[in-house]
Amino acid sequence: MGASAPIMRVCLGVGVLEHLTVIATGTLMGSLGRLLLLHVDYRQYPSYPQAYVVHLAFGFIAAFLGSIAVPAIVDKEFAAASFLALAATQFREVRKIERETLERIEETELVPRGTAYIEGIAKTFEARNYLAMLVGLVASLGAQIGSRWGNMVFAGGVGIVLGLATIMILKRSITREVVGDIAHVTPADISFDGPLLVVEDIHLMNIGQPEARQIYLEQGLAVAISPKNIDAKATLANIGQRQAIVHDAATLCGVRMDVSEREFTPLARRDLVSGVVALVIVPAERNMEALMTAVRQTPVLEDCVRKPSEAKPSKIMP
Amino acid sequence: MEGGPRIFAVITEEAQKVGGGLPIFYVDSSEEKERVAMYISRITGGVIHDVGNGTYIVVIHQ
Repeated sequence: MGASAPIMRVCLGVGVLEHLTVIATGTLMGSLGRLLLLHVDYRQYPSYPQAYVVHLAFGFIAAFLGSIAVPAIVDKEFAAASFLALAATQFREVRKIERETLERIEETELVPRGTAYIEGIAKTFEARNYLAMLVGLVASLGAQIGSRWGNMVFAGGVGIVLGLATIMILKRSITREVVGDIAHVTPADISFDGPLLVVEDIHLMNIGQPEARQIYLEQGLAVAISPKNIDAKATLANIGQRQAIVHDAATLCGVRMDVSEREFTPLARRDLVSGVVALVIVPAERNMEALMTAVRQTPVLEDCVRKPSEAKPSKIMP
Repeated sequence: MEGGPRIFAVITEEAQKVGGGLPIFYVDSSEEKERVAMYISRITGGVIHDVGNGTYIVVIHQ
């Protein structure tokens, strides 16, 4: 008994060190993954430090939960792994919080995001917590396996390499399509047919005030967004998708409007036959290249994606 | 989009063409029409639309 006690302590020490290495590696890589994915989202949201803290903290928790699953299973604590399900419930809350926050600030936006964009952002944030968890799980699994063959430094190394590989694969696979992928964005001319604002033969709006018409002609910019195929045509027909494009264009190029100057609300309307979407805006800085870039890099919202080409009716159509 | 667009006021040079339950502003010239319409639109946050027969409407797009 007296002789076995120190041996037990040593075993315990090694076990704890192993677990610590595994958990620390998993948590570190998971948090790093969340940080890198947050950077991808920088342009659209969030743009303030508090939100970064919130999302990094959630990412850290997700990574931690993911990385303690492996040591729990190694110690035959199978019940402990079931709290991953609890984490899933928790992250659903993240989506709810994001949605509520964005819906609340929507009223203060000059050019609203629209509900489809908000839902897309909220969903993305929930999904990225699961990804942080997955990276944590894979990295900790790597560290656990590595610890069988070498010392803890080697184990940590294996975990880091596997974690980095997972981050890279995920980052590539979850990158969404942008408008530039599904449509050609080209400059277009603004003209007036009486009071009607016309771009590419599409009537966008009735502008009553002659001064406002003059401002549109002198300072306005318009682009034509031509869908590349019938799927893109159906996607661009979605009001939520068009609102997202308008919001991004207005956010990135600035917009010459205010609460009492609604004439200059940027608009996107479609041609009923060709499906071409005409966007008109009076930007703060008149730069066509910047506007086209802003439109091209607007994400294609998951909830707005339509794929009629995959279905039978579209194959029957000529 | 709740509620949709709402006509807030009608500004017209043609008194005999317009009637009804909306606020109607009768004006004598197109300059006056533009000025009145502009003032009302700035106050209400509405947009001026030209309906073509010497009449402007101020519409609030909700």
